Amino acid sequence: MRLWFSLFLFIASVAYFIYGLNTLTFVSRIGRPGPGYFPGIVGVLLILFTALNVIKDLKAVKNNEIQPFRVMAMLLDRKASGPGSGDDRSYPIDVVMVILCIALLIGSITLLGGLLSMVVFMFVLLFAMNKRKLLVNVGYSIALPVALYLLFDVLLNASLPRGVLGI
Amino acid sequence: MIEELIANLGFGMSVAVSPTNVFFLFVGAFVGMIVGLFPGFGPAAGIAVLVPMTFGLDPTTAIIMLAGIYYGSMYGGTITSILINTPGESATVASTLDGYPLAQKGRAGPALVMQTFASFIGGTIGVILICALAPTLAEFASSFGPSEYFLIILFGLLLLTTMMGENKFNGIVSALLGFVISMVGVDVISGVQRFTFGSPELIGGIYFVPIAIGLFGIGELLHCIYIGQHKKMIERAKVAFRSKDFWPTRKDYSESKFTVFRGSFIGFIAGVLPGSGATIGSILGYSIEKKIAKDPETFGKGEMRGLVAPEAANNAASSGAMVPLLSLGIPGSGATAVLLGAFMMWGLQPGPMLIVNDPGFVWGLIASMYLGNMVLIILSIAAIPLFIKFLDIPYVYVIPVVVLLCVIGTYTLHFSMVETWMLLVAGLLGFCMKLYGYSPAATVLALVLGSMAEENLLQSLIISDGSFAIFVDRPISFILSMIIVAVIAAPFAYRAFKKLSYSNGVT
Repeated sequence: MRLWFSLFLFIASVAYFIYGLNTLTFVSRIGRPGPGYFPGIVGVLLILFTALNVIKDLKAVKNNEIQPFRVMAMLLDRKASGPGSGDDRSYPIDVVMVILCIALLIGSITLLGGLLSMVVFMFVLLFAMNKRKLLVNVGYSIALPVALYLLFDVLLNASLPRGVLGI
Repeated sequence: MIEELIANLGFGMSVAVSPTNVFFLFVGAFVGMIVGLFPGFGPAAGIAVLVPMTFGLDPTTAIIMLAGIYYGSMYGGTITSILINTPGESATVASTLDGYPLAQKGRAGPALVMQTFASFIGGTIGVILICALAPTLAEFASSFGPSEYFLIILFGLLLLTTMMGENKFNGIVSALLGFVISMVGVDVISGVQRFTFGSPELIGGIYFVPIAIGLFGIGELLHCIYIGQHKKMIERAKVAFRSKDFWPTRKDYSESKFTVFRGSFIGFIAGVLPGSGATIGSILGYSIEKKIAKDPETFGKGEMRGLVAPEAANNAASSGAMVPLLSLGIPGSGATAVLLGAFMMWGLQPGPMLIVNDPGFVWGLIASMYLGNMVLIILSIAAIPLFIKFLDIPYVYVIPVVVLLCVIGTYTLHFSMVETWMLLVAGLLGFCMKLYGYSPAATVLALVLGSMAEENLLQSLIISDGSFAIFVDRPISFILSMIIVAVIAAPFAYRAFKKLSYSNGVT
């Protein structure tokens, strides 16, 4: 995965530099540094250092230190994806699940409203990660959102969005 | 000098000691201790997540509360270091080396009390040194021009990235990413829109809070899930609260009396240096104590001095990190960068003039740090049983609390869905950065300082008609430039020297 992240940063840096070059002027008409001057310097440095990282990672791939094509295997193997066993285990599936739950929360916040979306988010997340304690999950999924709703909406006066049910 | 120091501190006390401020100081210190208890959730994340909750408060009260979170987390982080051998945050890593062995020997109680005592002394010495140093440094810095400022920012970022050891390139990339984000919006000098892609939401720039919450809060949380924090069964050492053995012995105090002062001074110096901070401070405090000890072999096996030194150091370092923040407006760590962002959010203009323009705020904050240390010593000892109970909460129940605080907190900043989605993107970025050895702290630091760095660079070049000689013309600029060159060249020189001595050894 490290190689893919380095590559992503490199490509993003090149895109950032080219976009800046096309939309901003490096030096103004009177010869002073223009709005593209600082972004230009930052872009060049980013390209340089991200490229060095890509080269470093490619060398590591060549020496078999990192395996970029184990991504799918990592995602599919729920338990053992880290280098080794026991405490080295990693849980990429759980990470993906939490990311999806956060996306669900953000995506539903205006539709369902602040309170309801929090309840749904918590229930889905706890059901996925803590299946055995259903009753505790339900209680917690209601208690925490209500507490946060009271904190933000009532105490701090930062009104949460109202959804289709008016809450 | 001393009269001035006492007068300033007295003035600060008159600002800080109001029922509201003391109440929020308690809240901040308490929340900070809880933040410190959860591995992977450091002070930067704690402050960033709770910034939105302080919107209804007066700026001084809000910063007092956020600063309480900052140093409260140092106290809290050690509880996990001692009881479960897992540092609550990076600044308490060194405390596990002797803290956990002490607990294993059945001395968890004395270890917890001694860490509180050391933290209190470290924090108090730190506050006294801030009072002495911050105004002097601010006065000195008031003569700085844009070239000096640009070089100081560069120096701070460079130190932060060079502290990353093998991952220097990653550190530099992290800082550059922060600059990239800071450049979105209208350019203050030319008025031209940059990287807004025609979106009206981006014209005002990308606000630092969602990015900081995403990088530190969501990013750290995802990383903790990735390494299986939610699957771990916590086995903590037992603490007998009602037993006589809960308290340290006279020998513990007498053996540590000089250690605590040494640790405090070392930590404070490390804290003042940008990029160094509490983590390096505590490690330095521990190593030096071990080096000068007559019995270094006892370290790592449950030596009280091995716990006291890093504890005094990390608290003094947190105070030390306030010196460049308050006198120059330049933070040295992720947590102080978030604090700086909060200063700006409340309309305060950080820099050498802050002490002159807002003395009530600056001295109130410094005095609150002293009060905070007193609050924390009370909380730490009286509420240890309560904080230990927090350790029994399964991590799976902590996850939704953090996520909801991050998402709802970000949404209520400006009621913007774009910013809330940005939080998730920043969270993903933060997770990948943490996973592959990049520095989210450098990104936030560069994001907060980005516009300042650009403005000072451009102003310097305008003054000098485009000549880079301005960075070596004035004596202070020259010295700063030389230091920067030395920082860049030192690793190469060291490597060349090592290579040379190795080849000499071979032949």
